Amino acid sequence: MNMRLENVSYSVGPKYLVRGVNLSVNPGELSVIIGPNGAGKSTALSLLSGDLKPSSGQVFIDGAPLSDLSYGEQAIKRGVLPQLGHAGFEFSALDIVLMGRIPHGETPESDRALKIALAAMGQTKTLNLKDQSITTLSGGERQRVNLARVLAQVWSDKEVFDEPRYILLDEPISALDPRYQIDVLTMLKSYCDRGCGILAVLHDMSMAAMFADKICIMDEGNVLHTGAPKQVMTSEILSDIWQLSYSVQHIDGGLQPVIFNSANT
Amino acid sequence: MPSDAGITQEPGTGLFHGIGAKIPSLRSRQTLLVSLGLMLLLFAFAAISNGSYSISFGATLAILFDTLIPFDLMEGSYASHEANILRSIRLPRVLAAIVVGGALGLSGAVLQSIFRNPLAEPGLIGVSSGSALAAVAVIILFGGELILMGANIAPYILPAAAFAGGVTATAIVYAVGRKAKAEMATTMLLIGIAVNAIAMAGIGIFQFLSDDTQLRLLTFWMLGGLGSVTWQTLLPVALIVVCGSILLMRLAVPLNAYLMGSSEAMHLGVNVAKMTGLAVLLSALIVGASVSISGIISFVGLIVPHLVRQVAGADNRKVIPASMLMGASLLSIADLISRLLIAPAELPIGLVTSAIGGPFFLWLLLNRGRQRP
Repeated sequence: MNMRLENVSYSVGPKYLVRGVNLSVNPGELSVIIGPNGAGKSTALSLLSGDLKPSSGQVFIDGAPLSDLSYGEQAIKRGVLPQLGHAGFEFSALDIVLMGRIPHGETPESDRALKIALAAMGQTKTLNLKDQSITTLSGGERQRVNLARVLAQVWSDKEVFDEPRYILLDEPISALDPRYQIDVLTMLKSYCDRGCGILAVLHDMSMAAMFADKICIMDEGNVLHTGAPKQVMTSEILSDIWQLSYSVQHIDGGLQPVIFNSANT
Repeated sequence: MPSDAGITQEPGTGLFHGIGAKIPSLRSRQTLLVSLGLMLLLFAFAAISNGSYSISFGATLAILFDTLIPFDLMEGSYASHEANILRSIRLPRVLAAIVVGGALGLSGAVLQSIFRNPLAEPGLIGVSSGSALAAVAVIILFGGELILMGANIAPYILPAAAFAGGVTATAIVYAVGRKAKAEMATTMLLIGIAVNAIAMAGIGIFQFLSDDTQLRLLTFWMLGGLGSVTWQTLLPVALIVVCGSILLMRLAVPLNAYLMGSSEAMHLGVNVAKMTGLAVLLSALIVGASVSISGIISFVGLIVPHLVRQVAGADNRKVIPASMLMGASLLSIADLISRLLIAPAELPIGLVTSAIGGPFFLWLLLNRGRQRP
């Protein structure tokens, strides 16, 4: 049981955005993709989310090809948080989170949908915003409201999820202050512990090192390294890929990649 | 929000701890729809009892009562010619205003969501110009008379052709749009412009070929009017509009998700292509049916959803039914104005809606400009 890309390529005209990528999202794990701009991180995530159809290779979710599942069946198994976009129309924050229950056929009036939405908003600390229009919220607040919607979508009342659920997050903490970055990633880790498989695209190297169970380093459409942060986040690999001088410090048993010379090496 | 001050929840504390809040939106939805429903009843009643021949309040009520409940219990309280006017002229006409206004308002709300554009209206998907092209063709080719087995069937051919023309034009927009690689709604918007241009060219050719009488007939059709509505033409239209509206209202929740973005809707399990196609084709069906008995009535489909959103926000579960009720109300009153203003003659109803709608549209554009810094 997992979500995975099997030898997947995606090309636009002659240009390959990802090429021959193998990548799996396993229940119980927080997987993080890191890589420079244009490495193919979001493309890989969009292939898993069904936004893009692979040019070759296959996408599987719990053993079934993604294309065999209806949109409704996919939405039961998997929630997706796209990159932070424009605010759009005048919905209250609560209305947005309630939409997470659409795949389960629960109307916004149903008690269950309301309970779940409010609980999810509690987890992203957005309950105080629930009656505000999404258009009046800051970027960070919108990001946490939308995250609550994804949590409401994969929600389980049980301590351990009965069936694996997957969450794909494209730069979920890009607009958050350090306090909320830690809070959100800690909360996401607790979802992994309960049986969710989560894949996030992150730019913050130290957050990735601190929270990821598995790191995929992508560059130029390829997955170059996959493994635990300690295995793949070495100063050699990071310095080579970003063309910067990275030093990886080991502090209290954790990793802390530090750029010590911002000039190009 | 003082009532929410007590509700805070930290992650990790009991999942449903401290939740006692109610959604205000459910109640406000019912209040909104009930008040719009009452407004419609009021306007419709005013439109039924008034006109070039005015029927008293009491007599109107009595006739309506006897029309709905057999046995003629109230027969003494009105004159029989009043009952005739009301039953065979006023009632079908006001019901037509309700059906047509409702269809225009509802489809406007749906299409503005589909195109995520507050300036979208039913005309954009080709249905109005397609209907007009078919109507002008019938008027030029057959004139006012088309004799089949001794009966003049022209009054039925014109609506049937207008309906078919409108739906065909939109079907073309849809068929071309679904082949496009880019997002379907955006592409259809552009194809709609092209199809409208082609239809307008066709209308121009027929206008060039027409004589003065035909031209006058066509001009009035293009300005809209409910004067020629009979029970026979109203009933099939009402049936189509009611069925189409029920199906369209079921799209409210997926349309809400779609307002967040096409990809967001897909991730919530919405089949966006199917929903877009359904919304566009059903809109064409109900607008085509409406236009077939009313001619072109502009601005209702554009303005009504805007008025509704001012009070209801963006939630389509409110906006769609409320737009239907508001459209029905406004067209009932516009029809009454068109009958009263120069009585016993009548203004085309499209003139009334344009005269009110044009300035409103300008206000809308100015306001949009002001909102953007």
